[in-house]
Amino acid sequence: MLPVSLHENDLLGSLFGNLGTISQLLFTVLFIALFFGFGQKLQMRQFLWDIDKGLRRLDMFRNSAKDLTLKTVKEIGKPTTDPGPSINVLMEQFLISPVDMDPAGIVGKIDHLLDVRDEKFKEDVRRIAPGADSSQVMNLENLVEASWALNTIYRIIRHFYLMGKKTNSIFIIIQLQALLPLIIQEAEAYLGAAKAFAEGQPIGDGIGPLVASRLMKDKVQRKVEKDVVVAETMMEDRRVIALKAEGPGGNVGKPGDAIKTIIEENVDKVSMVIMVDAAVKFEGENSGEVSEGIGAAIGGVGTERFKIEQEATLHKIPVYAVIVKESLQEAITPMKKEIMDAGEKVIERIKSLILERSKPGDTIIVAGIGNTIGIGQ
Amino acid sequence: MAVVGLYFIGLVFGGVITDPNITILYVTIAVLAFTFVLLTMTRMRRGIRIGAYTPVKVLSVVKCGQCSFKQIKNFAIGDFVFKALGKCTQCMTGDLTINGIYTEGSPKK
Repeated sequence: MLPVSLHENDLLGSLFGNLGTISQLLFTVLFIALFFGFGQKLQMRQFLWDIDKGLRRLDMFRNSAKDLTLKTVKEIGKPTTDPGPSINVLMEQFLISPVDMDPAGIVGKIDHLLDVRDEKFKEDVRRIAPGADSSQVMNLENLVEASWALNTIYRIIRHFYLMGKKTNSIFIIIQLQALLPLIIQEAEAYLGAAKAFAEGQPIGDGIGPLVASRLMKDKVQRKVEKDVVVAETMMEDRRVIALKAEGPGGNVGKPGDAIKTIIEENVDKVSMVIMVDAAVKFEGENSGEVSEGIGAAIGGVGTERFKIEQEATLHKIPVYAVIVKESLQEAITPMKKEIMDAGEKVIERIKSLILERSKPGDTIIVAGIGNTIGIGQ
Repeated sequence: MAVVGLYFIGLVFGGVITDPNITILYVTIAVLAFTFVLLTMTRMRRGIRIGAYTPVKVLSVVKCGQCSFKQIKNFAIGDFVFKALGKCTQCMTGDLTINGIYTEGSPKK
């Protein structure tokens, strides 16, 4: 029995030994073929899965925002017909930038285009929601814009995803996969913004108008230019003219035109312009930190900043900026407590700036820049 | 990669390999394969977490212009900063206004 068993073991051992060598060789060939031949393809497939997953999430955000828009329009606007098709038309709207081959006068052209776009958007929203008052129309306009932004993000990402798939271009796919987490974060912020606009809650970007409204509270107010309110107050024996977009509807107004008008009304009297705005912080910085600098603190396309810079240069008026740091997400979602609390710190900074850089009796313009949604005056 | 890892583990424990160097090589490959699987899975989870939307609680701060009355209530549609809410229930003379609207924000993960 024993010799036979030994013989069988030898046979099995040699067979398995050979199998081990063969499989080892096969695996080495497979390994080389898989990782050197198809490695990139495998990686691309994995990236495509990631993008596909992100795209589905973006689609969900887009649909949520659209549903919220429809629901809010129906609740507030009391439309007599189905607002769905009209909202779909608004979601696909676009703006063609003017030709910049000859850049002279392009700011005026862009300003005109933006005015037309703004007016048309407002009219369209008013038509879709006839039951909404002017403040609600502003909020609905902002809500439709947030939905439009989400729709546009989705369309762009889908375009590059399909392009990458179609052309099998790893470079398109890699770039898209690398940027997707940031894009999803931004889209998530837009969804938060849509919810804030639907309910008329102040957003982080509203810190400028909030500061201005604290300065102009209980003072005589008047309207200057498009959707901008102005009030005069005294601070450290200086005459302060505070301005902000008219609230509480979602609105940014045209502070450039308003500052120009005030300077022209007070020729040789204005000694400085202080602009208060929210500014994007760097990663690692705390939200609600206050910083000051020089120049016109105002975002957007640049037309309003151009007007302020031009007017300030013409009259040799220094422009100072006081900013409240916050992330892009915080700027368009409901205002955080630390940002709201920064308002008092901003007023203190304005006071010290006034004391340091002006004389008693001077006239100073304080402009609260940003979206005034949920902030009255 | 999980299949690769399992295959090499099978080779190591199959009793076929006698050379200790080959055993070490196979164990290393198996560990690398499982690490790759683990990292891929955790990366997928992080991706899902980024996209999850968390609704926030918004609060309105109501203050009296005359006395120290202060109340923090849940935001209601129609609330806005400096909205007048009538006379103060504490001093009966001052006007109640919404002094601020804010969110505490979701806790950091």
